[in-house]
Amino acid sequence: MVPNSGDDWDLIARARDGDMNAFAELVRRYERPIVHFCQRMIGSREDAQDMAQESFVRVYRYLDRLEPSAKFSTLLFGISRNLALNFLRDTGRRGRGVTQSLTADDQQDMPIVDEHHRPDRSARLAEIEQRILEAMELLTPEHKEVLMLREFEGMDYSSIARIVKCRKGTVKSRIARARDQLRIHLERLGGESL
Amino acid sequence: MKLHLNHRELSAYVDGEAKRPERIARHLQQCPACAKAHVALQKLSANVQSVTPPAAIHGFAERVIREIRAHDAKRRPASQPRWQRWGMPLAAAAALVVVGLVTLENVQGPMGDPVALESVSPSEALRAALVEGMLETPATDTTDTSWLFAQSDKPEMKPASETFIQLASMEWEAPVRWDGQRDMGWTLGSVAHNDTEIVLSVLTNFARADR
Repeated sequence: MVPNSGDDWDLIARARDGDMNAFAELVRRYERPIVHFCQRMIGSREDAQDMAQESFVRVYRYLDRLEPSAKFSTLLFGISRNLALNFLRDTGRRGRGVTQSLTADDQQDMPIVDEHHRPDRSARLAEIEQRILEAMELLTPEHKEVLMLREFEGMDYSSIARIVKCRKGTVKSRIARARDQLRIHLERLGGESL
Repeated sequence: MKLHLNHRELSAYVDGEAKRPERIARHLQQCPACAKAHVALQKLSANVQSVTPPAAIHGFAERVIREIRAHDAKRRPASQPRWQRWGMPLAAAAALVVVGLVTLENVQGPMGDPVALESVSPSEALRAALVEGMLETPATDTTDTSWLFAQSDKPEMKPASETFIQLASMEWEAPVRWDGQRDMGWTLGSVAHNDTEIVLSVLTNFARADR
């Protein structure tokens, strides 16, 4: 979830005045969501860290142009998203997800169980998380990005529309479609819905 | 009478983004099938939200700051925009307002043939950069080009400032790749390269039906 942007402006104002500690604080505030977003978009944690770093370097160069009406998070995610799409394009992976296929053995190991009868709840949650991530990797980048911005970062449709540069109605359709696709992938991976 | 809610509206309702939420709420009270679909969507959403983000990276912020300082140190002595190193004087660069028609033949390159910016003239590079590569155009919505109308002198074409900043943050030095024919349309925009802003008025296109 992206941090509350209310006091980003204080840090931005200080960073504009050359206070690098203030900018470092902004980086710390957004580091995890941005790395997470990049990692899920491109499928590599190492590349995601480099991409996140580049996003922060670029956003620093344009702090002076940022107006108070703008959200820092929207700008930052927009830059990361462009970098991720360029990466996918340059590596020829733009048209589909980047996951590795599950082996037959993997798929057999994914039974749906009744949560009330499971002794190890944390194992169950880890299993759900793993399956969700695998199913998300099968989404197209266009569906994956809007779903992540909504579910992981809690952004509203207007902010997402600004980041992915499309209309709000398009975001609405893509999120609905992404959820539908995710449900289908989860059923295929696990035999039934979570 | 509409028997069930469509998936798109129900999905938006889960996000608190439905247009008429009270109508949907009423329907859900009366329709078991839609109520079941609604619960399933809520559960799916909650499960996705429960995914744990990666742990913080030790020293990441410090690494970013070091990188920024390294960039600054590198840029200070040269401070000459790269496009000037193409041999183009600043005056000419400032005057690089590309006004006119860029014909389809002009903007099209060989299919899939990558062209490095430094191998083409600055004006050609500007055209190419607008057409492909550095500026991410809308993936599916080919009619809305308002995102590019930053810094325009036309009041109706003022987008959110972050759009301009996103455009400005693109690397102009990156290679350009053409990959097919596109529709044409008027575009007026402003793009920054290093510390220099370039104003463009160019007939080009943003149809990305192939994406």
